[in-house]
Amino acid sequence: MIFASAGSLAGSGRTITFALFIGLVCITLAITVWARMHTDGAVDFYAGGRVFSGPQNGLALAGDYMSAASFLGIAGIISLSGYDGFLYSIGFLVAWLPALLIVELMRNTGRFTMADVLSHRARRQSSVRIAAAVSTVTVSVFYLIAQMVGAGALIALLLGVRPGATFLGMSAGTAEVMTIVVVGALMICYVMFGGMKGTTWVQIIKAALLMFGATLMTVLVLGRFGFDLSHLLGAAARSSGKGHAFLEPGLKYGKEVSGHSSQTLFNKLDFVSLALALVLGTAGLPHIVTRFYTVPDARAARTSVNWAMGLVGAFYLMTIALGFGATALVGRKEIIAHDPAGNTAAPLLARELGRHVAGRIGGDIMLAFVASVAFATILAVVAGLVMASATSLAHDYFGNVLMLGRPQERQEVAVARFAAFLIGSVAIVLAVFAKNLNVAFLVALAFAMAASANLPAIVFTLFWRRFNGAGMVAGIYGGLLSSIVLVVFSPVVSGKVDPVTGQSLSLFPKGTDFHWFPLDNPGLVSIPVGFLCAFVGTFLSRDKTDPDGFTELSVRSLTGAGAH
Amino acid sequence: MVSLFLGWYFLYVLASAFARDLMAYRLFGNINVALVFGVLQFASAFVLAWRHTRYAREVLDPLAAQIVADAEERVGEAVRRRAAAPPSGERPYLGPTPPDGTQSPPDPAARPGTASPPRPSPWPETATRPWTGGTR
Repeated sequence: MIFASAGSLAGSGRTITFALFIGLVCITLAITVWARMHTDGAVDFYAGGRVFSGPQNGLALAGDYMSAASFLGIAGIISLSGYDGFLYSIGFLVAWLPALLIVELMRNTGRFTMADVLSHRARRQSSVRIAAAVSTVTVSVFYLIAQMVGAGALIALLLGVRPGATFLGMSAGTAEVMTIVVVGALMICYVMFGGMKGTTWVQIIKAALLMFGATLMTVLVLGRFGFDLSHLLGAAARSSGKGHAFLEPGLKYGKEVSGHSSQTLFNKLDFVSLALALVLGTAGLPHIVTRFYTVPDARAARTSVNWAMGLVGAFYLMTIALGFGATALVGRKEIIAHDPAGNTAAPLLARELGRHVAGRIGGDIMLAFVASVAFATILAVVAGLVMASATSLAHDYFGNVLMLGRPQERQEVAVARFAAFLIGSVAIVLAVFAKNLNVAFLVALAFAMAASANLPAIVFTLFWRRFNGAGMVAGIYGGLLSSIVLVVFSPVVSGKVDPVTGQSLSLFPKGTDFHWFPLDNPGLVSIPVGFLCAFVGTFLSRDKTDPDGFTELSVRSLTGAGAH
Repeated sequence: MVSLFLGWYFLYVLASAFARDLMAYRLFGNINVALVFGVLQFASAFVLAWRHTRYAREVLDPLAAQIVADAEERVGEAVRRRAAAPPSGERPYLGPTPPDGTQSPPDPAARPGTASPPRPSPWPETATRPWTGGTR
């Protein structure tokens, strides 16, 4: 093997990093083979046989939820923008409370997907099933593309492949495409062969690695500052060059633009919109909802959400130490030099910490370890997303619409495997095409879509007696379309220009500008629109409401009668 | 309770956006209001989750168990009645709720030993719609 070395991030540690990556791939593939041998029917494939305990599923939920964007991304945002990165973390944690409230009800009334719950209340199931499948696949694929594009860039960065350099004889661009293809192929493998069992174990391993790595780094960081948080914050503020503003909100979100009061207001509303989408979106994310069904009963589901909350909360508290620690110990300039978005802040901090403890070798080992945690994170999250959309396509669309609810079990599982292959391949192709675009906004868009399309349908199904099928369909499509349309005409797609460098910060290059919606995140408008559509749709249709359906659903959701 | 908490969260969000001076107020050392407010969000989320779990365990679970036990008793009675009398035109209601659509009041005489809900096997061979997850 020929490794290029040019003072890159990885340097001589690249061999260790690469070896750890290979080891991780071998372990996860072995799990997949094991899971394939123990996957027999639909319950095994879609819900891992419902054998996972609450704590196990809690780990998997946390592993499913904490994407590379939240591990490397938030540490990076904190290290560059200070306190505002922490605002993001809080949104991610608080989001679990709505999830905790509906998890038991969802677990008790559904089998594999969100549409199972909704279909209790609809007289004609097929339109509701199609709407739910459309929204599930759209949300998942958008999220997936963001993750895969991020993965390509990130892994290239972690392995130290830089423009102009070569890696295993490939140029940097080719290496990035190869990374996307390899990540995609692995994710298809996990889901096609391992089903939910394989995916869940990959996520459990990832969550355990992530928590271990974050705890170790937090202890090392705090140790450097005598376990005095105030001391750490002071050092970070000094090193950031922004003084105490670094510890206060306002450097990234809700920026105050002097002289432009309307722009200031829009910036602040945009931040509120993002917070709203984060908090309400989680409970509607398809890959989170399908996880509720991998446990034997509602009590275990409740336990698993509690575990997930504990893990996610502990992790995001640690990102304070990681982010501010990176600023204090590595320095803002060095972080920006490696990646202007700050994604390498955590790996750089790991190298610095390792070096302090055990010299150069220690630095290389820590860096390799954190890089492979990030790699595991990417694999686990993309696998969860493909799993959720394959489940919805096979179970909702094929099983309940095409086959009128009477497919052969084997047939449906075969379709699910094929759907996983199809969605995975589409995601790979789209990600390769989008690899040079700025698609980070897609994650926030996925949360906004989940909050505007799925949440109204779920909440009204569970709690509103008058709700009917037409309302569900109207709410899902209304929320989905409004969030997509608003994003297309928002500054993230066109018309945002960096005031300093004059470069385009949008999807389209500079010069193209068709935006009229002032906010980056559509949630503030599209979530109310979703609820409104569901409400209006219910009253406009001649569909009679089915009050017995509501009563039956209430009893089921409380007792679990008829639950599988 | 939840709306109260969401209100508390959005108070925090709005304060971050619009009350910058308050958030920047330093309490001691380098710890300012913003940081304490943020950590309080974590703490209050954990407390609320713990309260909800306790409420679910102490109130919802026994209530659910009672409804299930009550329904099982009713089913048992119906089966006994059927066994005693030859089938007539009137079929007794076997579902978990009475036909008038209201929830049955908890039966104080419900047997405590029968708390587990009836679990049909996942793939009944005779079910008419094995894939819909419902019995409707």
